[in-house]
Amino acid sequence: MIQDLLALCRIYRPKLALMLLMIAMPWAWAAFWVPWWVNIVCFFTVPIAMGILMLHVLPPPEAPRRESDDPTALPDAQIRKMRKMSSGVHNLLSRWSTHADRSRSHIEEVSSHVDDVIEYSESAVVEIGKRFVSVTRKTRKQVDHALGMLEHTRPDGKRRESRPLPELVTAYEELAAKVSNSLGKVAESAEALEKRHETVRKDFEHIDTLLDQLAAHDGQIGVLALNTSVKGQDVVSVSDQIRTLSLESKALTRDIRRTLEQVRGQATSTHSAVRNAVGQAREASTFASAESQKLSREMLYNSQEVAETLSQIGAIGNEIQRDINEIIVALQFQDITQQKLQRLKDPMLSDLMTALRAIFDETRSLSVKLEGSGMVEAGTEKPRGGPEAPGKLGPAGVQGRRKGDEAVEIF
Amino acid sequence: MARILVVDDSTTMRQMVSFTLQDAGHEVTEAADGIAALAEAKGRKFDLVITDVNMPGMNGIDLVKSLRELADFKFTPILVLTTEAGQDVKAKGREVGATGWIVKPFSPEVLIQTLRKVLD
Repeated sequence: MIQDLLALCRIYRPKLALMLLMIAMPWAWAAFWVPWWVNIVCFFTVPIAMGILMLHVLPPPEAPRRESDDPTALPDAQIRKMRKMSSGVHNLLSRWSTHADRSRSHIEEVSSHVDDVIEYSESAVVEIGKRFVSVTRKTRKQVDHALGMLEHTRPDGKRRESRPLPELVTAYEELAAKVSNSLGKVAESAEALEKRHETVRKDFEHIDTLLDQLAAHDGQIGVLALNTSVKGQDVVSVSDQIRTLSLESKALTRDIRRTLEQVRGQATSTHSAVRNAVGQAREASTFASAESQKLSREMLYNSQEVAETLSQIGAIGNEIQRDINEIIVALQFQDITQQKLQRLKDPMLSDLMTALRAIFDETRSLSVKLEGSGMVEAGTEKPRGGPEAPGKLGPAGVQGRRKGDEAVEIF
Repeated sequence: MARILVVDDSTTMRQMVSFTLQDAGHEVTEAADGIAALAEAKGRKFDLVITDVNMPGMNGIDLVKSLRELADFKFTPILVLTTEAGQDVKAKGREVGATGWIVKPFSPEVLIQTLRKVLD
């Protein structure tokens, strides 16, 4: 009974003080006013009351399990092992927690950077696309201008005021042909005049000959007159000779008059031919001058239009150059953000993967140990796969992937 | 027309710089890092070098330092074209002998203007 009481005291050890307080409280309140012998009686009765309480009032406690009592009960050694395992699990979970926290902050940072990269990339792509469309439109406009220049139409499709260059060249050729034709006619007239001039010269030569003959007759008449007065020749003979000479002189005079008439006629027709030729030349000159002025104006206007079109094409070319410069800047943004992402991948994500790999190995080792200890049923789900080894994420692992897939592979 | 050595580990960036410079009528040689650039520099002369800072193998600052040790590049203009804009890095660049500093992304017009200034 005393052993049972001692065993009960061990069992109820945490509650003994409370029980003593509950039983001794009435005595404690009255201890100062009651006689001394009552206190002595109480001093002995309180433990007895506690014993009665434990033995007969309180429900009997469950008997401690013994190895011999229950065959399914765990041995102490196993409990110690379990405690050790629990401690290991606790450490592991603690490390998991630390790594998870660090990973979370890393992932948040990476996520933020990835958002930035996506934003930059999107804006760069949009900008490049916009500029590309703009360049295409402007190039089209340049081509339209060039075609308009060739077809001699305005950008709105209307015909230009001046004639196109080929037409102007044709007009110049026609003008040159007309002037050449006129000059040919003038040349023909001049040739005819030359012929007439030759005839007149021959006529004058003939007149000279006739006049020489007349002078010779005059000389002969003088000689006859001298012979008559000096030698006293026969008057009849002299008279005959003089008559003959006079007749010849008359004939010569007629001939001279006729020739002079011919010369006069030639002079009149030459004068008229010269006037005609001068008129033709003047007409040709006036026409050529007017036409060439007109054509020159058109050529000038045409060259101004060409210069204007070329200037427009040049201005569009400058705009295209500016667009290309913007594309270059956008591409650089794209490249810079890509490099930023690359720097995030290594070392931040590589470190994260290494830590995950280490934790995975440790978890697998613990799992194997648990399985080996028999504390978990065989066939319980084991950690599978695990994170890729850090080496696989290196440049060699990236090779052969598409550019855009890189981020997907990492995450 | 100047002979220019462009050093950058990013192919896109190298192409952008080369495109801009070739468009302006210059002859461009490309190198992907400091070591390759140094090999190019030892083989021939250049009128100007444009280099990035952050590169694998040999970075831009070390490249400038190494180029300045070569007799042919003692007085050759060297421009640093980088995303780094910190004063300490710039000071380091100036210390090793860089002629100028351009922060990426660059404007092609600004690059050409700077080039003219440096080459003149």
